Amino acid sequence: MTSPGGAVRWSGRHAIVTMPDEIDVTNSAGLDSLLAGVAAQRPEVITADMAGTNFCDSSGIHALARAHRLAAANGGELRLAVGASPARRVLQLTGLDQVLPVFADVQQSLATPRDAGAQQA
Amino acid sequence: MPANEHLPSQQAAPLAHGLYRHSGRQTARLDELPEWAEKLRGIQSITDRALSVLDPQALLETLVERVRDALRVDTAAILLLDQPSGQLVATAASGLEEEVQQGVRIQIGRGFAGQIAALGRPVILDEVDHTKVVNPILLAKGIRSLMGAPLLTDGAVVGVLHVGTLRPRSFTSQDVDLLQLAADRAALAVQALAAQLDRAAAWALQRSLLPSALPSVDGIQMAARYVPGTGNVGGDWYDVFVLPSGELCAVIGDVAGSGLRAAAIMGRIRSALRAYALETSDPADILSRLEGKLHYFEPDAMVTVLCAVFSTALDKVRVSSAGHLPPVLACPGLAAGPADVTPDLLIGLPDARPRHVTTLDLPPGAVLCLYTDGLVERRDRAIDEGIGRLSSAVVANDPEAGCAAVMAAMADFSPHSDDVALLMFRRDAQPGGGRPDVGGSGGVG
Repeated sequence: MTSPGGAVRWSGRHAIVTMPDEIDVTNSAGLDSLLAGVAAQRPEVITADMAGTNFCDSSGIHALARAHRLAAANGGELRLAVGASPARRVLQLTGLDQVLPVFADVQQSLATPRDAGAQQA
Repeated sequence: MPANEHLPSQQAAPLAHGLYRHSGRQTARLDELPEWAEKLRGIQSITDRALSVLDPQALLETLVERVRDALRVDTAAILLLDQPSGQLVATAASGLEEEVQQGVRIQIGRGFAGQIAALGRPVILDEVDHTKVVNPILLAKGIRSLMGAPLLTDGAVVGVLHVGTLRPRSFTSQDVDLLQLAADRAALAVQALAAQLDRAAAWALQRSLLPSALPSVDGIQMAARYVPGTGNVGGDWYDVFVLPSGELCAVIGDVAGSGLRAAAIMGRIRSALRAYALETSDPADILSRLEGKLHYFEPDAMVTVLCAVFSTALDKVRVSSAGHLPPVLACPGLAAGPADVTPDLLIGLPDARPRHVTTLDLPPGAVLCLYTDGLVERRDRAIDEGIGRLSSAVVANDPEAGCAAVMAAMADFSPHSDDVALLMFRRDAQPGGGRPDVGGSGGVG
C-alpha cells in the first residue's frame, strides 16, 4: 500500500513535508508544485520527511534539487529527514547530500537551528 | 427559403460571390432539425476520422469548412492560444484565409476573439462595429455579424472558434450550441494531437541525438543500448566521439523531465558538451563550462551527467561526474564493481563548487560500463543491489555481447519501467594498437 505523501505541517516557520512512498516520473511534477507552494510561503526551513520513502529515482532527485534551488532563492533551507530510507543511498550516489543537510529524523531537524551547520545523521 | 441554402457544401458559392441570402432573423425551425442533426454528425465524424491521421492542420481546416457549411455562414476561423505570448494565433480559416496567411495574432481580452478567450464562453455580436472588433481583416471583409465559442481543455481556454456573416444575422441558441459543440470537438482533437505530436517529436528528436554508429577506434571496442521507458520519452542520452587530440570522449546523462522539452534540452546539452570538449579535454572543465552555459541560458534545466575521457594510449580514463551514478569497472582477474568516482553536484543547482576528476586505470582487457539509473533502480530493491547485479553481469567480454548479457541480466533482476541507457567499452586484451584512429569514422551522430 503506497502513500501519496504531501502532508504539510508547520512548526513556527519550519515546514515539514511528508514525502511519498515512491518518487518517480509519475508523481515528481506534483511534488514540484507541492514543494514550490510551501517554499512560496517563505519558511525558514523545509524538512522533507523521507522516512517512509522507499523508492526515489532520478526524477525524485531532480525534484529535491529543484526544491532546494527554490527554497534557497526564497532565503530558506531544504533539509532531508531520511531515517533508514533506501533513498539515502541514492542521495549519496548522486552527491545531493553534499548540499542538502541530512538528518536522521524530523525531530532532529526541528531541534537544529538554522545555519547551525549540517548535522549529519 | 432560398433554394441555394440547400446546396451541398461543395457547391456553396465562394465568399467573393456574395452568398447565402439570409432574410433577417434566422430561427431554428422544426423542418430544419433533421438537417441540423446531420450537420452535427458531420462535425462529430470529421474529428473522429481526422484524429487518426495525425495532421492537426488538415483536421482544423476540415473542421472550419464543416462549421461554415453547417451554420451557413460566410467565414469560419480557429485561433489557437500561444501560451508563452498569451496571444491567439489564426490557425485555420474558411472564407477568411487571409487571417492565417497574414499570421493574425490577437491578445487575450482584446477584440472579439480575445474577449471570448477572456470570458471562456460563447459571445454573439449581432452588429459588428470597430469598437468591438480590432481585427482589420474582419472589418475589411465587411463582416456584419459574428459568433464565437472558446476551445476549452480541462476548463482552460486553448483557442477560439468564430464564424461570421456578410449580412446581419441574429444567431439562435441552436447556432451557439452547434458552434460550441464543434469547438469542444476541436479542443479535444487539438489536445490529443498535441500530445501525440509531442511524443512523436520527442521520440524522433531523441533518436536523432543518439549516435547512429559509435566511432571505430583501434585498441578499444564499444557498444551501446538505449531502451525507452513505458509512457513518455525520458531524458536519457549518451554520446561518444574522438577529440582532435586523439582522445576518446564518452558522455552519458539524464535530463530532468520528459517529452519534447526534455529532448530539446538534451540536444542543446549534447551540442554544448561537444563544443566544450573541443576546447578542453579535462572532463571536470567540460562539465563546469556546461554548467556555466546552462546557469546563464537555461536556469531551469537540471541534468546528471558523467563525462569520461580516455587517454590516447587507452590505459587511463579520466572521469568527472555531475551527480551521476558511478561507472562499473571490470579488470581482468578482479571482481567487477562500481569505480571509486565521487560525484560532484548535478548541474542546475545554484551552489557553485569545484568539480573533480578521478583517473581510473584501464589495463588491457578492462571493461568500463556507463549507465543511467533506469538500469539499476527498482522499486523493490536497494540501489546497491542493482549496481551489484550489474557488476556481476559485466564480464570482460566483447562489448556487444556484454551489453546483451547486461540487459538480459537486469531484465531478469526485475523489469525496468524507466528509460535505460548503457554504454560499454572494452580495451583490447593485447596492447599495441593503442591510438584511436582519428581520421576514422569520428563520433558524428
